[in-house]
Amino acid sequence: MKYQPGQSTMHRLHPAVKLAWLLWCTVAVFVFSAPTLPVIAAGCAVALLWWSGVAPWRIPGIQAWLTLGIGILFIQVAFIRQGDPVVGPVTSAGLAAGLRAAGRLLAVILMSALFVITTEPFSLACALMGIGLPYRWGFALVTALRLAPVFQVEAHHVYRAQLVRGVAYDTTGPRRWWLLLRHLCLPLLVSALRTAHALSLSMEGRAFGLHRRRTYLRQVAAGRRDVVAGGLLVLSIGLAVWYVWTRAT
Amino acid sequence: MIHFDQFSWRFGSAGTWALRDVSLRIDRGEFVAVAGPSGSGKTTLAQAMCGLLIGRQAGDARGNVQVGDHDVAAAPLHQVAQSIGLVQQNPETHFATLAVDDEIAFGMENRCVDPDQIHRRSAEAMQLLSITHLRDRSLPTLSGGEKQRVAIASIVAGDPDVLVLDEPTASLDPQASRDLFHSLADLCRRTGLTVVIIEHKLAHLLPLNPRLIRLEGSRVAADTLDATVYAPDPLRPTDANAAHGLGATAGPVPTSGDPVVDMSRVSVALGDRTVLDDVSLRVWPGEMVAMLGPNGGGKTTLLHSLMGLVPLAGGSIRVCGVAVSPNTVSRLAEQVGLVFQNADHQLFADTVWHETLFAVRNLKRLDAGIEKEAARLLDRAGLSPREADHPYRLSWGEKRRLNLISAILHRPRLLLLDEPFAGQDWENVAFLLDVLRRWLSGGPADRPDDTPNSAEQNQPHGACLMVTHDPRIVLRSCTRVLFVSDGQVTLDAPVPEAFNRLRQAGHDAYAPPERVCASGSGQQPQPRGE
Repeated sequence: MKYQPGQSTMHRLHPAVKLAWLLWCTVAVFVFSAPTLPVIAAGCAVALLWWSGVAPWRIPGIQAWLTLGIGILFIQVAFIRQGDPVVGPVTSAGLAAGLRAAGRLLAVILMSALFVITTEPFSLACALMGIGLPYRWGFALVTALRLAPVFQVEAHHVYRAQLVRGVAYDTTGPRRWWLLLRHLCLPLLVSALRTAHALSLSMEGRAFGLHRRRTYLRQVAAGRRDVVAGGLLVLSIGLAVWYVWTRAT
Repeated sequence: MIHFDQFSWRFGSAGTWALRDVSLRIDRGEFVAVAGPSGSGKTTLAQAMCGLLIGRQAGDARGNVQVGDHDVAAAPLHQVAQSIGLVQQNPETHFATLAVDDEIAFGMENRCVDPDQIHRRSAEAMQLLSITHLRDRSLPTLSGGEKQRVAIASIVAGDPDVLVLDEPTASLDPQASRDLFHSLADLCRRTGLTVVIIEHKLAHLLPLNPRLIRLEGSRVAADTLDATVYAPDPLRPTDANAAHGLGATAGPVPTSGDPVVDMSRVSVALGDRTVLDDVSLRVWPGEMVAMLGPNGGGKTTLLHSLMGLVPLAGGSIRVCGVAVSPNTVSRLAEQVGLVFQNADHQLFADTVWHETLFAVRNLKRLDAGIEKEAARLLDRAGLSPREADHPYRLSWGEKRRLNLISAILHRPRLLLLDEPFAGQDWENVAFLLDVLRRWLSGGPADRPDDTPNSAEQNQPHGACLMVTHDPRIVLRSCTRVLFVSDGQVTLDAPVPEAFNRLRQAGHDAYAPPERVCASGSGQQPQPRGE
């Protein structure tokens, strides 16, 4: 799953606002027990993905997550017997628990996918550094994102190099995992350390860490739509707090 | 600009000196190439002048190094780096950001340069390196040559006095290498920047008349402006080379018996991109086939398809009479040996000796005879004293020799080599070619003095396909050339004819200079073990 360039409203929304919405929605679907809330959140994420020009079923791995969600729903429905009967052996409590668990899983996955697909990673780092995140932390995020595919390619190369020298990774069973652990770890670790060392020399050689602050070529400015989205976020948090408060009293 | 005064360095507190009594002076605006055999101290020299050695790595130093007004032993790295910038061999490990414009701005942002000035200087650097059209691209989408130019621009934008490049063309094809060297010479001429290039492949650099510094045995062996001194063809026809089957242009091999490789209308797609398109190819026993072509043209994919490492979108492949697709790679490994481009990706055991026997052990072919052959080959490769060392402690050239020895010990019938000579000096090239020729001829690869004489030994053992960017090696060792471009084999011909046709088609960067084809001059290293 990675960023897909685009010009939709979701793409153009300030990364920090999107991140705040993601965090708030994730907290909300776990804090509130109503089974409809995670289902609505997942539905909204699907709609926003569509609106941003992304077909939800083309998200890498979504079929596996969907299968897992349906499995969780089925298990909850099959094993929880409390509550009123709905259809056949299905009870209201079983259905609510199933929807809640499966909905939370899918809501978090789909909302995260929406965020990752519509947010350019370096803009996110710049936005966070712009609102006070120390730039060393911001670049820790950027370099992790940069090196992940590099290490993936390295792992692929090492795996192939061992296959061609007769290491039987292409067999099945636990022996394969033992071989992978035994022969892949050291070359990958060495490769990762070398890459990290070379990168640190490159960054330090270009004065990274010299000053407490730095300037930025890329300015991630907030616009009117960001103010509206931020306002809605504050409003929804306020409403949620008010709701919890009135229920408690 | 750069002044080495009797400088010596060794890693750790014991062991041999990586640099000995180096005294050098490089002035502002010079265009300098530093050459020399593997392990002669070229990269250590570059690290020393860039302030990446003294105080940053464990070791002993004598003498001193001055860059501009800075003593590199005393000045902090960021101060030294303001005067001198290093572009490493692999641009992937140079980039700190995700996009071209961010990468070029990175150093200036760290020095708190005003954004308007960053814009102006970035634009100038991009213009100097002819990469203005790449401004909005993300880094992973660039080709190898484009990445290297962006890495250079990211240093040039910081306005240093000296630019040091450590084997910048190691992963580039000949055309991209030549273009890059021309850009660097142009940069030097137009801006007065001092450019120091650490490089093995001098063929495309020499026409630009650099000052040449040759390191040998950790010392400066020569320092000259006379390029002809460094334009040898060490594999040229001589009595010594002819004795090892090197030197003379190899002739075509009779196409008899069953082919070792039989590819029929093979297509390979990676994602939406067609990487191989309807390729048909036969390789016969005794053939040494060179694959040339631009980066991304499909050469490596073609090699990998013969090993069953990539799924076919169409067509069929038979290797040694066996269909590739239903077999597992680990089964095919019994008949096919593959040496990848990166030596480190193929080192898995904890000692050189165990590494040598890694494949034969996995393939359950280990016996006393193979152990004996392994010992003799390691001896010839100069690796016997290192048998108990960890393979990662070897130099790059030593690792490549170990890779090849380990790949041929179980006597595969097809050998696939992906740039086995990249980063090798001529002595190592001669050794590797000698081992290959003996393996190919069916004789033991371990004895330098064997002459195939029995009927069995006169039968070629197998065939070899190699990706290489060095036309002189092709000229002196291969029987046939394939030019692979845009996923197709656009040329398949015997070596001399192939080079003539490549020149006619405007691909002269892939062909050796005419004078090399004719004879050659200069020094002539010998294969090891002679």
